[in-house]
Amino acid sequence: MSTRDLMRVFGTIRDYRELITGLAAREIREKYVQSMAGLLWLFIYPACLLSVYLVVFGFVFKMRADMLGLDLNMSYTAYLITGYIPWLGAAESLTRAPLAVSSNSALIRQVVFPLEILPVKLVLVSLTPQLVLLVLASVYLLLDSGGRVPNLLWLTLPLLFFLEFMLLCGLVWAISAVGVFLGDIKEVVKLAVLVGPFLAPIFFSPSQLPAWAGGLIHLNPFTLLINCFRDALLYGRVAHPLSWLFVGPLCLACFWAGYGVFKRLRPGFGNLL
Amino acid sequence: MTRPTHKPSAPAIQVRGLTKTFKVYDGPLDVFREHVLKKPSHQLFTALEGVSFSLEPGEVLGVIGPNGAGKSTLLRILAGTLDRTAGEILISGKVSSILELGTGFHPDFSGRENVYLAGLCHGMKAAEVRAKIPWIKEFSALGDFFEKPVRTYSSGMQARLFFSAAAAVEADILLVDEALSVGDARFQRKCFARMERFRDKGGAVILVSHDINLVMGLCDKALLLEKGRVISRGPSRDVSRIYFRRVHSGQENRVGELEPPASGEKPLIPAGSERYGNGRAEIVDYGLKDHHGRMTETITSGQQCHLFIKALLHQDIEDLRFSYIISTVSGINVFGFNTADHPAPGPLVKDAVLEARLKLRMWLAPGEYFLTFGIWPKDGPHYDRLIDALLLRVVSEKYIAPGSLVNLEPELELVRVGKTDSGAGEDSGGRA
Repeated sequence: MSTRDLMRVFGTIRDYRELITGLAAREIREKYVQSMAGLLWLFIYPACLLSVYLVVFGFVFKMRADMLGLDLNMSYTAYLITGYIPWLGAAESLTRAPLAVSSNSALIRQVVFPLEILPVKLVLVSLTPQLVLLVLASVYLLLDSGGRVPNLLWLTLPLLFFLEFMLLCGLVWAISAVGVFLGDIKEVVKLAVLVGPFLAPIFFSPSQLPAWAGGLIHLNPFTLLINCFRDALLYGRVAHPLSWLFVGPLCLACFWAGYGVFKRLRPGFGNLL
Repeated sequence: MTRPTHKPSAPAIQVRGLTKTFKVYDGPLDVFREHVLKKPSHQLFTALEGVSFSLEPGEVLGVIGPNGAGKSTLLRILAGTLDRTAGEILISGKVSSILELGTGFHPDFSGRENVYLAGLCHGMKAAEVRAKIPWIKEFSALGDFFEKPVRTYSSGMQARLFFSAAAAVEADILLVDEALSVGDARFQRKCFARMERFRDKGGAVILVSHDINLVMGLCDKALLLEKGRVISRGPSRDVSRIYFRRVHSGQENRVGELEPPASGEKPLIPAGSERYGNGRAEIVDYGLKDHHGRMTETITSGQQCHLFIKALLHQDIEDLRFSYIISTVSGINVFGFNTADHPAPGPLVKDAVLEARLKLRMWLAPGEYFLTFGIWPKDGPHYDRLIDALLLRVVSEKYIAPGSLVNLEPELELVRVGKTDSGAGEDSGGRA
């Protein structure tokens, strides 16, 4: 896997962008085509998620962010939800990753197109609820912070989305390729999605952990991504400079490595699909 | 001057020594072990072995063969959805393929939406697809159904949508796999017309089919595959005949064993004919005699004649039947007869010679016909069969329009039954 290969992947994504977006749009509508509320469901799920955390931690436990030892005059819900945003798309992508290729066998047998766009489509589809959650959470944050205005770091959100897109593409490429051969990966991923939120500072703050554990979770690329999302949405300043520094290279490395796995396993697909 | 995209002399498809072996794994773990740990853990299954052929622009190649012959594998490799194990494939031009029918359609979406996505899948740009959609709607002749969910379609309608979507792709080479067997006759006709037009514009078509008549009607060349190997290739009529013969003689599996029965005399059948059989009995003479009993190959329409087969038994056999088929040059059987209701007289022992004479009145229209002769036992493979062994020429003294199949012994009465310029005075009673 050379740099040229990497550029070729971006080229493929660009050349097939109409098909990717076409497939993604179809898949989103496909989910709701039989339902009365239709696309409204795309809003209902993130809205419920936000409300549940708001009620449970805001009104039942009455938790504040400073209870985690954070220097923040905000509700715990604000802290939680800003960390949860990047995880929402990840959980969705990872859950569906094992079947991303193998469930499209009919299409693959029939039409010639680069298979690597199937995981890309899946990531795009999975990021839509996250985008909705981001919008809803932004509204909540503006209300919760007592009229604080959006800060300049919000402008980095598209970049953060793009980095997460690369990270997830890498993971989904690897998982979907292995998924063609091994059914077990489905169970492994299910487990990872269950445990995942606790391996990154979503519900807790790294400062609550023993030093070694705090260091360890920073090896998780999602930790860096979550830190950046929080800096942008919550702190309004670069509170985690190291995360900002490393998140880009790490996501790119995942993208690269994941595609490498996919490319290596792809020749075996035809015999199984 | 327009410049062609490729030299007219260059073949559209050239395949040399194409081989495809599938690795058969016992379980998913074996696959993983092999690909990740690079430890071979498979058995081999050969789907195609040393397949070679070439196809020029403007030609239609029919690929025929029994199930499991490797036809679809070949098409998938040419389409690019499957890799090859060995061999060389040169393709000049853009390939469009109609492989598995209806796959990739989403049942809950309308025909229009599915066509749009299918177009994108086939590598078209969104704007191109949108421009093509009216044509696709028109061609599919689905009318209002075009806007309805595909799940409400009959299988024939799905086939129409599918074919229309694929036909809209601008390509130089079209690969079609059995897709046309669904859909009604009128739509099939339309598809053929489309393929013919495509061919006439210089496109190359590969058509996989079980339907010999289709292959003979539409294809210039044919390729007969059996167990992944090319058994025969050449003009479609010849290849179809060989396929037919093999299917009916139950010899599909005996590659390379097709020796005609030993006959010490002059070659019994003319070049271009086919002969096969298991040799337990042999046709030693056959032919057509006119009403004077003279051997002939030309008969006047309406005359008495008889067909005969003389059979020599090389072994003791249980049953012996004679068959005669007369077919047109384009392969349509116009007359067939066999002696199934007439047991052969006497003991069927080694070295016995029997002759079956079939008296006929030749009511075929003037033209050329092929005669096929055969001997066989009840429910068994042919002892000996001579396909298209004789070219029969039927002539007529009376005029019968060219292209007619039969002579209905026309007798013309041409009379004047009235006068257009006369009044009511005369009744048209003069019936002759």
